Amino acid sequence: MAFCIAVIGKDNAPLYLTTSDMEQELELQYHVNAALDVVEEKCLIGKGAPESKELYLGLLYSTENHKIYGFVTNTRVKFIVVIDSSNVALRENEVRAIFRNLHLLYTDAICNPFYIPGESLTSKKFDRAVQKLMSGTA
Amino acid sequence: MTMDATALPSELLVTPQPLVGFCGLDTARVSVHKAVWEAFSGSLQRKAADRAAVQYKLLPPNYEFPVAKPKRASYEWYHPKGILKRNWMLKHLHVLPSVVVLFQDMEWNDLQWTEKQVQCAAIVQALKNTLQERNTRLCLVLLQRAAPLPPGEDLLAAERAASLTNACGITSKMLFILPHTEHLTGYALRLESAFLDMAQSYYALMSKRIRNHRDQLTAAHTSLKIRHQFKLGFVAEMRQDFSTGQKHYFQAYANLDEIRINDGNCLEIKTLAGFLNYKICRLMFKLKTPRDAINQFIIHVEKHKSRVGFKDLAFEHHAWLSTQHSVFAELFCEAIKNGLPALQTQHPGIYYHKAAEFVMKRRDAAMEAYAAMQASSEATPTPIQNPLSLYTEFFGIRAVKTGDLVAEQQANMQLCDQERSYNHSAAIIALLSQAMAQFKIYKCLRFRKKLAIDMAEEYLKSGDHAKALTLYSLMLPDYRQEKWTTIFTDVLLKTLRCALLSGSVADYIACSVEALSLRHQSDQSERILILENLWQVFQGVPPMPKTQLTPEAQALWTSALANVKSPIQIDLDKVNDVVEMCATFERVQLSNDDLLQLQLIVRVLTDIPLRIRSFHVILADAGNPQNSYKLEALKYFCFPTLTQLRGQKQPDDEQLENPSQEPKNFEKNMRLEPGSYYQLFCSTEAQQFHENTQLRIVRLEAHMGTDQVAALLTCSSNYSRQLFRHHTRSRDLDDNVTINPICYIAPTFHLDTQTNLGHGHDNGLTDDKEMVATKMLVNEYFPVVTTVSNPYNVYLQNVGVHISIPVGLRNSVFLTTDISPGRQKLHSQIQIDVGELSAHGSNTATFYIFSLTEAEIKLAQRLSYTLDVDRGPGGGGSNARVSTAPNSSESTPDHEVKSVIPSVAAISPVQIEYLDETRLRKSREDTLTVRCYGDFKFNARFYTMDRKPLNQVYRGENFLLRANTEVVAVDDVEILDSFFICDHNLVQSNYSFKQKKYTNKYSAGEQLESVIVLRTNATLRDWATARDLDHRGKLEGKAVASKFIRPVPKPSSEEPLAPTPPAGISAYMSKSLVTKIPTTMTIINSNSAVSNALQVANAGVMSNSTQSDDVNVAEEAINTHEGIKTTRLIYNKALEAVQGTGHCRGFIKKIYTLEGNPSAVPIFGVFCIRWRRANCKEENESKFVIRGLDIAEPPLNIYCTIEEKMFVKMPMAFKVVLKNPTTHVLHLIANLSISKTDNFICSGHKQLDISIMAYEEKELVYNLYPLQVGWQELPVLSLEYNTKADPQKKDSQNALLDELVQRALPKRVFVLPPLKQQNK
Repeated sequence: MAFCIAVIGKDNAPLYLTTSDMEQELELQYHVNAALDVVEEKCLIGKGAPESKELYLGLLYSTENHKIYGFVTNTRVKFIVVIDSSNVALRENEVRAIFRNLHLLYTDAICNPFYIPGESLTSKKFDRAVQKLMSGTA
Repeated sequence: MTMDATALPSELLVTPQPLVGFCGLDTARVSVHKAVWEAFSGSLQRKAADRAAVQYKLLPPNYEFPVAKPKRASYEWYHPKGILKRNWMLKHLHVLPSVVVLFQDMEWNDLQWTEKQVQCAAIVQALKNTLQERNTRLCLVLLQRAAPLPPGEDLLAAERAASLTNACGITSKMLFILPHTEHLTGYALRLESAFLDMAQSYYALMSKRIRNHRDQLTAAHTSLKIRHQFKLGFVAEMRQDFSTGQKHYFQAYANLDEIRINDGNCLEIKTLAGFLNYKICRLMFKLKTPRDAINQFIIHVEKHKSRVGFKDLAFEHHAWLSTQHSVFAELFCEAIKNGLPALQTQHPGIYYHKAAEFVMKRRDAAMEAYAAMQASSEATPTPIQNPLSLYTEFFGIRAVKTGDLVAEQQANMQLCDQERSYNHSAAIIALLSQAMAQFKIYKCLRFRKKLAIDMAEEYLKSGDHAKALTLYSLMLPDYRQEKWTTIFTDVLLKTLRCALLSGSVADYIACSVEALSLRHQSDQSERILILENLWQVFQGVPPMPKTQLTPEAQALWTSALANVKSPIQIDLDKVNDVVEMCATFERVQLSNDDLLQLQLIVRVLTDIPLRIRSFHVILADAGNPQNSYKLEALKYFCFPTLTQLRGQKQPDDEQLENPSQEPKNFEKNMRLEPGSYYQLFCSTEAQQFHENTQLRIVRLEAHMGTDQVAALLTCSSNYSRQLFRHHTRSRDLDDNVTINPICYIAPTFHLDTQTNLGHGHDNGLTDDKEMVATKMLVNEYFPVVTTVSNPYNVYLQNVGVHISIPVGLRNSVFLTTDISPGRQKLHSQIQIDVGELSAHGSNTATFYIFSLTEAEIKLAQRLSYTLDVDRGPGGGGSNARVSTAPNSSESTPDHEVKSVIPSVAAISPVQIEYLDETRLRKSREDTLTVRCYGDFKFNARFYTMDRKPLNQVYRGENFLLRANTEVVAVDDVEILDSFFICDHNLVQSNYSFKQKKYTNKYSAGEQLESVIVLRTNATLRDWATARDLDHRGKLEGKAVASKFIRPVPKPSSEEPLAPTPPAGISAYMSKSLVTKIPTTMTIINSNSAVSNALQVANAGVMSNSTQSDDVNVAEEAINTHEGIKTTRLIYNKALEAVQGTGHCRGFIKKIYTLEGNPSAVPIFGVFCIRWRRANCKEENESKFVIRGLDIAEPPLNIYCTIEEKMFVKMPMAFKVVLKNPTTHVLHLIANLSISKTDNFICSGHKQLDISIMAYEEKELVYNLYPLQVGWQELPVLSLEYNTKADPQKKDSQNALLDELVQRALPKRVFVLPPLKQQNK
């Protein structure tokens, strides 16, 4: 269902990034990296309005083949999901559900007392769960 | 044709405007005609004013208008070959005007009116013939000089106008007048609006005619419908009816969908679709509906992006898509320029970017097509044809017969050949540049970086490696900083490739070093390969094998390696995780003669071993950052793990485990294994640095490579701690190794001092010294011996010792080096110049401390000297070895000073001052402490002759001064002498000068006592000073004779003057001469009487008087620089007085005292005690100031003399002298009451009336015959005023007389037993 799922730290360094197609990994990383521009812009707007509690950022931008959605947590960790543009059946609610599940997985992963904040997410359980989420069976 | 797919025609890109043709104007020769033309078409005027949208064209004479085609009666059998003709828009935009204006120079009052009318009619007819079958409007404009008159007034104009219109066959509405006056522009504007109205009607009629054709069309005429709708939209734009135009264009766009698409007509349909989409979007932007425009464009692209057409011409399809995007981007930019706000997610840059992407696809498709063509064209050679051979009159259609496969194939091959000459990279780079500009505007910086990388790739493909390298290098830091490893690796490898192809040695080396990091996703074998290539470059060889590198690149590399600037700087602070370096000083503080040692901890973070040529540490002076020093690591330890490195800190454990372990020598290009910790040692002499310097580690350097080509890996010394460092088992490096980034070079002080006082900070020495040293006493010149020694092998110059007294004691403690007997020079600060001290030399200096108070004196001692140092030119420090670093000075000291005796660290800081390049002054502050103890305790009191405390003294009265001295010195002292120097106005009795015998030694607690009889001759008002004595200089010759002469008292209002002053004075002088002899005798007798009285007092009878609080206690004497002179003067005067006159008298000059405010009471004198220590020859003198009492004028002076010894049954004389000091006569009654006692037989007047004249004396003499032995009461003498003779006196004044008698006369005497001679 999804081409790429990425977890970006608060300093915009990637903590976790996985793609379904290895050949497109570099291109997808470029897209995710570029999407941070839009994420920062939206977060900047959010600073002006502190009442905004919406974590889901919606469609960041779209290319010929991909649609890129964003999600930001309270600790400014960003989730980026790249979805196929041809998948017209995918609705907004389903993207929200993906992010919600991803958020739960992320919180479970960082609850590990041996995880050092700021380092890459190397949890195998987290990786398996994200793979399922990406294939749409989660 | 390629043109159709790659660019829109220019006539499509402009906004259609009505075309108005002008004829009859000769702008070249007639100035009026030129002015008229400028008034209508002048660009400046049109820009200034808001002119209407209209286009003017100057038609030349005999202009041929296009001939209209005959109308078709029916479209039943008409099937056009194309949808839109190429020339239709051009014709209506630039060729066929809607209005033709004919200008004629005709005045109403022209004499040749008839001929001109005929000519005008002919021209009009010719135009009509030319415009036959066209609906072009025609009008006639007459150019006249004068303004037209109001209608109805000019009958001639009306008549001729009617004639002209009839002749030309036009209506009156087609005739205009244009006066060419100064208001030509205004008239032109009004004419212009008329022309526009005619144009609008022309185009309206044109729309009507086109719309009439639609009724005759059937469903099969889809292309005609599209053509008609396009024409209607175009004409609507001409009429400025944009909304209607958009509708027509949209309808045409919709009709395109009805056509069945095949490979043959695909190009035409896409071309027309592009045209219509452009028109629709443009009008949508114009009508302020940008969202609709964007949606229209998206739908447009989605609909056509899959319609490729011929497979061989796929590149043409991509070119078309690219053109669509770039054209739309330009429309978007124009709309934004006109005020449309854009978003971060919707701005022209996005479309420029997509246009660039499609050009990339175009290039790929072109290469594929060309490859396929090459394979298939081997059999059939291709002749070169003219590109225009494919031209047709319709847009999007080529001159190829339908169904002719051979002709189609040939056309495709021709198009492929044309495509190869196109520069795709230039187009891509241009589009990417525009996209980058837009992304920058809308703050999409990461997007912009991606575009920069795409541009760099285009430069790389086009062979411009230098520009590609520049772009890649600019993008590397951002991806590195944000730790996007995959992207960074990709960009880094591309940068490395660009550096390889462009022969950039520095970039190649830097990228190679960075590519060794484990953070980059590559295999170990790849890193090994990179390292091997890197070392090839270090050795001056091109990095790749010859078979893999082109000859041009090899030539580039050969020339670049010959000109490379070595070493190449690589900042490890930016490069991620190749080598980890950290440095620390072993000790935080060093002496100048110690060894400076640093540790450098190095760890290779990659998985392949690195060969490092050398390691260096760069130090800097914290106070003077310009100076820097470079130290090289020479020895090292190797530890496989961090735990072992931590264990190395404990030397005891190390000695137990590895007693024989020594650091190894660091060799050039040593191999550092990955993962191991290398501890390298740098050491140098601390002497080459400035003293009092804080050294700071600035940078660490690792030198890698060869002499020819090398890389310098540098990183700063700041050790950055990682977050959450306690989560790892071995924690962080600074948890295992103590890191000292700063080291202080403590200065060496080359002087040692020893004094007999001892140093305060050396407790043991002080205790030892205090036991041996003598204690200092007040008023003593205490010697202090200071020994200054130089225990080092250094030649010291200008050695000086500066001693100063604390500010609080400046008034009571003094220093001197004067050893003369007078010792008049006292100072608060002294400077002892020792001079020069050679190696191991020493010298002594002696000074004296003189204190007037008991206190603990803390002297501030400052030792200073100058030293010759070799610092070399520039004033910087020197290295242990010669260095080629440009930022470190290079000099070697000629002579290294080594210390034999290690110096003790000074507590106080040493101050260093550089006099010049070669001389250095050092100084240090110390404290000398000495305790000063008291010498004597002195107090003095005044008594009357009957031994009672005295508060007030009468002039001329004898009184006693009793001085008590107690020895409080801790050591035994010898008292040589003690004497009292009284003021000139006082007189001491001879009894006072009796020399006393003193014992040899006095210990603490012993007391001395002196009794002195004094008498004053003047009251306070008459107190004489030295100035008064100088004033009476002429009396100096009679000093001895006039010592008892009293000055005449000042006249007082209460006391009238004597009636005969001259006679009184003369009588007084005679009296003084007479009384001289009895005065001498009386003094001798009175001494005996006083001595007897004192013996009685010593028996304890007078002990109560010592408790009196009314007695003035003398204060201690204080001397200053002037005081010494005063003391000396007093001393000399005292000796002179004793020898010369028998009196110790003199004027007491200003003696400095501890009390600041001088008292009104004068000083009676100074009591001096000359003393010295036991077994010493140094004499000291303690002085105590005796303050005076209030002196009053008495009514009567009473003196009493009595024999020194009285014996039983031996008569003695008892004399009482009454002296009248006043200026009037005294009448007294003297009564001697003897009946009270039976101890004496008395002879003399028992009751006597006495009259004493002014300044005269009266003597009463009694003979007493003692009858018993022992203390006997003397007969009592009482005085009272004779009230009969002097009625002014009262009884109250008799009390004063009684008091005077009580003070002057003794009351008891001791009668001795009879002498033996009497018995014989």
